This record gives sequence, C-alpha cells and structure tokens, in this order.
Amino acid sequence: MSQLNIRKAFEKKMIAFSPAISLSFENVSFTPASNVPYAALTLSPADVRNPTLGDNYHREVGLFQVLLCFPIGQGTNAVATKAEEIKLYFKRGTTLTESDTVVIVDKTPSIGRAYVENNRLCIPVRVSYFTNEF
Amino acid sequence: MTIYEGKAGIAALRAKIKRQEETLVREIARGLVENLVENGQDYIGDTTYAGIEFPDNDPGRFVNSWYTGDDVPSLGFSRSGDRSGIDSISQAQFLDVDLGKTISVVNSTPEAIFIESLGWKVEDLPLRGIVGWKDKPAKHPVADVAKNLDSIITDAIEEARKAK
Repeated sequence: MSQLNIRKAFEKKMIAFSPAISLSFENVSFTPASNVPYAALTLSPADVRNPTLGDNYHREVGLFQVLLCFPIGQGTNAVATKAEEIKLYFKRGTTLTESDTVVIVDKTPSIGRAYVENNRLCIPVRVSYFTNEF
Repeated sequence: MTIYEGKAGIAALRAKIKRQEETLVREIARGLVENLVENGQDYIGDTTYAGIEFPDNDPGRFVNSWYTGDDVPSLGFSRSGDRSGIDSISQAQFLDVDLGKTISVVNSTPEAIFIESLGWKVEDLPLRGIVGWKDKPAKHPVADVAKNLDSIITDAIEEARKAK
C-alpha cells in the first residue's frame, strides 16, 4: 500500500498549501479556468531498492512533481516565485506521514526549465523522496 | 578532516569511495537525461514530430521516453507522453548503479531518429507541400547535449564530493 500512501501524503500536503492553488490530479478530469494558474501533480516512482538481504525490508524512491502552469504572456515572475515557494514548502527533510508510511524528502527540490504547453508557461518542481518499508 | 585508521578505517574509506563513485555515475546520468529532456521540450507539440508522421503519438512521448539502464540498452517506449519528462528523469536519478557496468541512455521512439538526424522533408512526402507543410530540419538534441558534457560531469563531481 505504500505507493497509495505516498501519493496521498503528497496530495494532501499540496491541498494544504497556502495560498491555495488550483490542482490537477493524475487521471482526474480537469479543465483549467482561463487565466487562472494551476498545478498538475505527478508521482513518478523509480525502481524499488533492496538495501539488505531480508525478505520484507525495502525502500521506495522516486520523484513527486508539481508542474506549475501559468497563463502565457504575463512574464515569468509569478510562476518562478510560486516555484520557489513550492521548493521551500517541500524543503529537504520534510516528513509526511500517511497511515503507516513515512515519506521523507531527501534532497532540496529542483526547479526545471520553463516551457510552453497548451498556452501556458509551465515550470516543473521535482521533489525527491524515499520511504522505508518493513 | 576525517582520519581513517586501521582495518575499520580502510573499510570505511572504501565504502565512502564506493558511495562517491555511485553518486558520480548517477549524477552524470541524471544530468544527461535532464538536459536531453529540457533540450527536447523546444519542439514538443510541433505537429511535424508528434501529429503528422506518427498520429498516435502523445505529445511529450519523446522527452518522456529516455530509458536509463545498465549494460543492455532498453528498446521499449511504453511510457505515456509527458512534456515535463518526469519519468525519464526519475529513472536516471534513482539509477541502481552497479559499478563496472556500462550505463546506457536510450530513446527508442520511432520519432527519435527524425528529431535527431533525419528531419522531415517535403520532397519525401510531396502531398505535405501542397497543404503548405514546410521542411523541418533535424534538431540534434543528443549532439547538443554532448557539447555540454563537460559541465554535466563537473556538476556531478561536485555532488559526488558531498557523498559521505
């Protein structure tokens, strides 16, 4: 159940983000309001790690991405500022708990290059995480 | 300064060097793929690449289809299109490094060869010219990223130095 919990933990954290931003969740129909910024959330798990020889212990690792999409033609200041806020919101060492899963942000989130998609300027903020599963 | 003494010290030093080597390899892979993804974002959604030749393509499939692995290059491209290339980056960033093996970074989508080296020419598809479709040159994302290898490796060395 760890993947479910990891996703839930990140999504709940984003729902609690203040000031609130419109959120697009994976595989949920979403129509962005015109001229309103939104954030698309994606969980990208990587290969599971088995640091020891035992049967059960393993480590889930991956990236949680907050893709900030702002109306085009309004410069980069607003979207870049929001990206910095998200980066700080998930600062290294941030710990999220969902059920029996503890998700730890192990690196300072990185902000990717801006690009244009569907008439929006989008900037990805990538959050690296791991959980220990016993 | 850390002092390594005796058998235990040497073992600790060896472990640290191994971690640094692994970090170095992983960071080079991550830097390489991140550059490939970001370089590819410039022409995502260009209908020449995504919608005409390969109508079933998801825009963003090319950038999200960089597969990083060791020894045997992956020939798959089963990921969905995502213009941010998140899955490509995630796989490289969390590469399970096996020192001594060759790392491969591969893009096996059918459009990759056109984007990198062939481009699309009207003369190959005359009907396109009639509807106003223009030649599209190749964009050479791999060749462009190769020019940045020095800085990718330099950044990776900096990260590896931090590994304890």
